[in-house]
Amino acid sequence: MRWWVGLWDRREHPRSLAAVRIGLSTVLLWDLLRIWAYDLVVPLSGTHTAGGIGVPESLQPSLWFLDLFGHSAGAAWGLWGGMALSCTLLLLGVVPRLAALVLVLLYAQLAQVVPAADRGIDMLLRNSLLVLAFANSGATWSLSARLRHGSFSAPADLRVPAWPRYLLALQVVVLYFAAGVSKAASSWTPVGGLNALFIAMSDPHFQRWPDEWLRAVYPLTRVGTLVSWVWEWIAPVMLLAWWYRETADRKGRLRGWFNRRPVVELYLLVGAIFHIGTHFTLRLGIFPFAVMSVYPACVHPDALAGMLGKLQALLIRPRRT
Amino acid sequence: MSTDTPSLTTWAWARAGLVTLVLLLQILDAIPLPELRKHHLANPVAQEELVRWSELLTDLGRPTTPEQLAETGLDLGSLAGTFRKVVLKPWHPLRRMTGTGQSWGLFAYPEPASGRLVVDGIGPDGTETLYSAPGGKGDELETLLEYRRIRGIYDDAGDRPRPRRIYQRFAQFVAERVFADHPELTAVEIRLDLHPLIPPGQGEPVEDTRRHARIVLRSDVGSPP
Repeated sequence: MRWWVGLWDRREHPRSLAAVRIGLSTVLLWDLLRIWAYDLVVPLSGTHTAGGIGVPESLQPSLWFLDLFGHSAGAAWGLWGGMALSCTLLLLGVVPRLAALVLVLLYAQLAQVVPAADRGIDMLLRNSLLVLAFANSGATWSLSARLRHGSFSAPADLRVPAWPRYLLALQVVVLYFAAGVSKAASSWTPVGGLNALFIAMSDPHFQRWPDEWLRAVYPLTRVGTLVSWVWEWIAPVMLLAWWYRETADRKGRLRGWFNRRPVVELYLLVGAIFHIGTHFTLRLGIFPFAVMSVYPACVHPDALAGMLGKLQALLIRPRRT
Repeated sequence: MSTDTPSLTTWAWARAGLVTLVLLLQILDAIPLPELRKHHLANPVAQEELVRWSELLTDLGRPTTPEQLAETGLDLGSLAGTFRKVVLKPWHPLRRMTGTGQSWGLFAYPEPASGRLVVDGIGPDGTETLYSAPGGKGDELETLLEYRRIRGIYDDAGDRPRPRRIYQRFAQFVAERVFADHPELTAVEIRLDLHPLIPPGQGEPVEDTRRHARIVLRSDVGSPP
């Protein structure tokens, strides 16, 4: 029991949380700017009387946003503008907790204006934003850090509560595992011929490549179906890896095997390859990038610093030679 | 195991309690319980699945008919749904206020009987297809229709045996955009043709079937020709 309470009481450097904050807000801001660019602010966030596709004015209980600001097109712009502003503040790390809270509350209103336009990935974004509303994610890589420490990066010895990062990391595990278990259609299994990915990639609303090309790579899509299904099912392997790292002082061959290898990082690497691959084979919008923006939560801030250091060295080396 | 938890404050215990409660509720929400309803089983894909899985069970030595499997599924679905509903009900206002949840059915049931959005412009010179998924022209209409939130409307609420009411409003919205860019058109037809997806080796490709056609006249949207 003391271990469990102590786990949620731990503190660590804020860089992993900051990476999630920057990733999430960038993806969401991009999506909001697309709403504006396609002249969809009123159609997607306004009442039907103002020119919206949805009929949010008929909802019971009513939306607090409409109660406060009315049913005009101006209210729709207010909703969108409030989201864009709070998202920008979150990105910059200015009053990040308040910005995340306001953003998630407005985002939930937008979700109810046209429910069909709100996808699963929006729920993941809101879940993560709600956690960020309680996290000190603006302690580094932010304007707040610049004002407080004279540098965008916080001092290496700064510590903030770690529990929001743990919750976000668990969210990634739950997301993948539940998605894997939900894939009950036989087309995801050998029973149904492993056709799921082929069917998804051939769906005209998601299709990126012509039918002839898809038929030519059909065997590969079957392999991809199996790999993605298995990969989602084994998401709890990250929990096991974290547990083994936590109990590294205990004996056990499997524990030793796990602790000698970057299991979590490898799982996430496969995930990143999978998501980037689906971005080039399926039209999924912000989905791949939004999911990957939560990945830094699965990596300890010290490990993330190590990865960034290696990346920096890789990028700088070619210039020197 | 790390044991460096020297002095735990009251707040640390309270926080751990709150986090545990949140975790339990989220996990209950995330568990893919089989919340089956009769209308789910009316879907042709569900019927195929019942046949396939009952055959597999029979082959494994447990003779089962699709009807028996459906009945078991409905019983379990009702039980699971009621349990989850009762436990999560007190938290529903908070979930609604924050728009949060844990339903992750990502491509859970890829639809072999998929839809294809088609937008036809009708004018004095005849009918011209302005958009047919998956597009390829790269024009403004295509960019609009393929934006994920707009796609969600017709793919989720329209591409089903009986489109939801928003599909009509979506058709109206698309027609207004088309009329604004094409003053020569007198009507716009929006439809979701049935497009059966047949994997290689499982039959010949089948022609699309017209479905869910909505014709919007220019006079319907109130802008003069």
